[in-house]
Amino acid sequence: MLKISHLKAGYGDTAIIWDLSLEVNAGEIVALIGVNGAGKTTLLRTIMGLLAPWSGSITYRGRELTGLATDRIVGLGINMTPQGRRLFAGMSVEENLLMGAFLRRDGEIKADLERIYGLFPRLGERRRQTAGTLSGGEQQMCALGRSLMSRPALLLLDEMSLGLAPVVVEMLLDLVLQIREQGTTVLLVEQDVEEALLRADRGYVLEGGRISLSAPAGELLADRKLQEAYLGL
Amino acid sequence: MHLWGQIIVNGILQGGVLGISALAFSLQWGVMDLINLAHGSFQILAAYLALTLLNSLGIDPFLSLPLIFLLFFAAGYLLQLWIINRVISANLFMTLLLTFGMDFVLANLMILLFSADYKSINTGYANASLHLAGIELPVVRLLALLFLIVLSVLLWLFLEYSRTGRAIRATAMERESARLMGIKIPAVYALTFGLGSGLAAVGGVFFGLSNTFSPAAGGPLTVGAFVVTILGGVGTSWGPLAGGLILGLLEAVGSVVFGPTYVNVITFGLLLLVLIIRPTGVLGRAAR
Repeated sequence: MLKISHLKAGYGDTAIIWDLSLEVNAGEIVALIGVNGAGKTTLLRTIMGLLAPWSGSITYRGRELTGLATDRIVGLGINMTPQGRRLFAGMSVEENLLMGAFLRRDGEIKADLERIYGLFPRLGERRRQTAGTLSGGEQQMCALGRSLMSRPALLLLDEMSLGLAPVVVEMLLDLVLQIREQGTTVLLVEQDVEEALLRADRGYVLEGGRISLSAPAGELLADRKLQEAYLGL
Repeated sequence: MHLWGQIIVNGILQGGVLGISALAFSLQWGVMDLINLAHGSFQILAAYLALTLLNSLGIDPFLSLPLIFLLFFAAGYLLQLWIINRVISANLFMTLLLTFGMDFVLANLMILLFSADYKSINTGYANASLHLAGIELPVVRLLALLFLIVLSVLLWLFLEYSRTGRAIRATAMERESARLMGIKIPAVYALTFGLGSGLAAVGGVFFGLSNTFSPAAGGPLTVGAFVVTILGGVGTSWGPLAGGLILGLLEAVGSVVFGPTYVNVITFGLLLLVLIIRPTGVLGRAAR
């Protein structure tokens, strides 16, 4: 579904990603792990067209994404829930969710809104509340709901667990399984490596801007070196 | 007693002209972090346009107002799309430099076209007034206040409830998230600058109807819009209305109490005071 080959990208004169290649197949949950500064967020931003790659290619369903504007990429069915939620703080919860459906012209937006409130009853209770006043967990739910409102075929999740209580993290990651059941493919960037690999099908380890390891999630979980580096075991 | 009533009314009515001007300035600033130093010259140019249409074709300024709005909207839209968008993501200094340059070009162009002499738009009703309980209400300024209120409401409705308005607000709040929603930022910016230019032009025509003006009058208008915007709160829907009324009132009262030479002292004193005590403006919310 998504195929990245020999990608190089960065900011200013500094390359962050070097010769990176990876693949995400339809229906999968793929976890991308790596320490801070490894280039995970840079990769997601490059896929979304927020950052122009220096070289290499990104194809989605056989179509080249590099050079496309972000709104075109979103229109193709890819969406990203950014790190740190990045909600429209002055808007209500409902307005935030509706912004997620900005490019949609179909008549099912209202129904999808109710579906999101079904997934996150807390958001339903607070639909008129200003998003900036929500708790961290609620904000993350709102950000995820906003992404889902675009009905993405491929969803990029950037550090959902950042700063959240373990219970909330588990709840959100369990929801990722549900999202996949409903037909959305997921590329998961996660600091909570264990929780992510427990739910993913495959995983990539990103080190210094390159993929250093790629294996089924179960194997990565059992990998001794990885356990030492990321799981603190 | 009537004297003070008259002074207060004058202040409030002057606030109308100030407020329309700030409505445009505040929108551009709030959405794009763009401080348009050519703002006042846009306004003066609009006043000259209304004057020319009146003198050469006999079109009343209130009839040409929609036309002038549309013309400035289109010009502002293209200016942002083709020129300002190229530097807007660079640092603030670049846009300041660019709009300062635009102001310079516009002001000198107006001197070439219209000479540096003071002009005024002389309509039959330019000096007409209503009288209410012994207080004189100049018709043009009364209409300016009415326009300010109506335009504020329309702008608020547009930003709050239309799809495009939501896109503008989203862009103002979180630019990168707005892009991730599929919003085309350059188009939103062009629309915002166009809208601001159109509103600035409307304010300019009202300024021309109620004051004498020359090509050099743009600078003080920009400064006025700047002060009103800070006073009311950058990017707030009702800030220009509140800020305009407060500044108009204080200038009117102050110039009587301390003398007209002190108007600038009052204006900038107030600006400093607001920046020290309440930097978010009267209606602004605390920064996130």
